[in-house]
Parts: sequence; C-alpha cells; structure tokens
Amino acid sequence: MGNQSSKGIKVTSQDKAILDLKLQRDKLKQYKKKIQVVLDSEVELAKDALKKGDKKRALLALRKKKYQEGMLIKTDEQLETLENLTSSIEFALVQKDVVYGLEQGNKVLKEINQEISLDRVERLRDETEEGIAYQEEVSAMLMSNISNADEEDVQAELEALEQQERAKLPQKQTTFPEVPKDKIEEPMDLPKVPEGIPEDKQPEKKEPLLA
Amino acid sequence: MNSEIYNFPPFFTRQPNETTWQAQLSHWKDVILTHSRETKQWRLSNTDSIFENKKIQRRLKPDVIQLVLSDLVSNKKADWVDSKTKTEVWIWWRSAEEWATLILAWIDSTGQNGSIVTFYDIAGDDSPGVPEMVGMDSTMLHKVCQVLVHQGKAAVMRDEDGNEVGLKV
Repeated sequence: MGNQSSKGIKVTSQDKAILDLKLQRDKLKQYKKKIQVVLDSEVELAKDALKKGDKKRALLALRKKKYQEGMLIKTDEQLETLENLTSSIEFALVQKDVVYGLEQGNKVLKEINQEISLDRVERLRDETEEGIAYQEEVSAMLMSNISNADEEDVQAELEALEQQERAKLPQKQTTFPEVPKDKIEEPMDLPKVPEGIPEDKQPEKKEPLLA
Repeated sequence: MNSEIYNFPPFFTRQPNETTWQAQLSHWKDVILTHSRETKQWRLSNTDSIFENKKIQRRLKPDVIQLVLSDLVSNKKADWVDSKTKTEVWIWWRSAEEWATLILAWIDSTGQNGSIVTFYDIAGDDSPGVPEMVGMDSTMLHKVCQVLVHQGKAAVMRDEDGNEVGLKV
C-alpha cells in the first residue's frame, strides 16, 4: 500500500499494531473453540447423570454449561470489538493512501497548469488571430486580382454561354393544325329507317286442346 | 496405496544393479510423496508404517530406509527434522515455492495485498486461506515464508516473544 519499496516490504509500527490485534483475534477464535468443546462435554455429562438418576449432578453440569455459554457470548462480543477495531485501522490506512493519492494528483495537476500559463494562452490566441487575419487578407487580394484582370473575360464567357443555351432552346409557339371551315358532307346512303310497326313475328301460343 | 509396485516384493529389497537401484529409489520417492499428499502427512520417521507392507509381508531394512530418506532430502523433497540424528524428515509433497505461490494466490484473490495476515489466517483450522496447509509445522512454514521474503513479496512478522506469527504482504 503506497509504502511498498522495491526491495522487500517494510514493516511499520502500525503493521505491528494490526498484527497484535489479529493475533488477539486468533486467540479468541481458539478460545471459542475450546469453550465449545467444554460446553458439549457438559451436556454429555448432564445426560449421563440423568440416566443414572443423579439429578444434582445433571443440574450442576447444566449450570456449568450455562456459565460457559455466557463466556462464549462475551468472547463473541470481544471478538467483534477486535474485528471492528482492526477493520477501522485498515480502513484508516486506506484513507491515508487515498489522501496521499489525491495529494500527488493535485501536485501533478498544478505542474501541468503551470506549464499552460495564461500569458502563453493569450499569446497563442493573438497569434492565431493574426494568422486568421492574414489568411483573410490573402483571399481578399486574390479576389480583387480576379476582378481587375479577368472579370471582363469571365463576364463575356458567361454571356456567350447564355446565348448558346438560348439558341438550343426550341421555339415556344407551336402551330396547331387548322380547323376546317366548310361543312362536312354527311354521307346520304344510310339505310332508311323502317316506317310503321313491325309485324309481330312471335308465334301465337296455341291453347292446349282438351282431349 | 494404489501403486502396483508397492505390492511387488523386490521393491522392499535393495536391488544390486545400480541402474535398477536408482529406479527403485525414484519409485520410493513417488510412493512416499503420493502417500503423504493423500494422507496430509508432514512428517515421516524411519519407522513409519509405509516402509512395511503387511499384505506381502515385506519390510525395508533400516539402512535402506536411511538411503531412501537421504534420497528424498537430496532431491529437495524433504528436510531432516534433526540433521544430526537423521531419523525423521519433513516432507515437501509440494515444494516451498509451490506453497508460497498458493499463499500469494489466496492473498490476491481475497484482495489482501498490503495487509497483515497471521499464520492462523493462512493455515489455522478456522476457515484457513490455504486449506491444504492446515497442520503444517512452523519449521516448514518458516521455509515457505523465506521464499516469499526472498521474492520480495512479503515480510515476516514476529510477536513479542520473537516467534514468527504472520506476514505482511
């Protein structure tokens, strides 16, 4: 963590303190295990005593068991305290590293900012503006050159082009075929319309004979 | 013991031919390492039951046992518990370097780089970091730690009595 050198690892007094805490934690863990064993054996003792009808003994064993259980809870509490403390310390160390990192970052940022001084930026902006102005001047000059020398030619060419285009265009007024003025003779040899009512050619219905 | 050779009677007699003898030694080495890995045995004495196969009623002679143990030590698969009496060895069924790698892997995987771990964290019987190491003797643990120190990966930490009790990684 931050203080790791290339040659081996240094042990600081903080590390020692953490180690002590962790060793204490290990001892408590082992102690817990021991209590658990005692607890179990007391229960067995109580069962045996009951089987033999020795109530007094059984009660004693159960009392002992109760006591050990209390110890177990206390041990758990202590273990928790220890573990909390250990993780607090470890977290504080991490925080220290974070602060250190922030400091470093800040330093670097300052250094970089120093390199980009405001004067320099201003100068750079001025130079850029000059450059743009120069560029504009150049293009303005080019424009004027064209208008002086070649503008007429360009105009003439434009006109010529326009004329060409006009010539190519078809005449707009198209002539329609004339409408004939004299009367059209109707052909007279059409068949005549028959006069009178045509005979009913339909055969009359014969009434069926009654036989 | 699943090894076929363990039930082969001549395996328990020193073979006169040098080449055969070397092969035999190598087989003994394998048998011992496999057996101790399976049974998680850290310590092997020259009177260990492995040197006697009751099934085929064969046992290795004490002087040959001594040779087998010496062979293990010279192959860095074991260390004398007492280099004067030479009656017992610590068995490295994983080399110290392998153990060191396992410890580092555990520390990496639990994000404990830069923090303090006690030996109880690594190999204690209450949720150990490297379960296979439970029961490893402090002598062996010391050697594993030395590997880590040499690699520059850890520093050994001692309690007030000067016993090695933890690592800073």
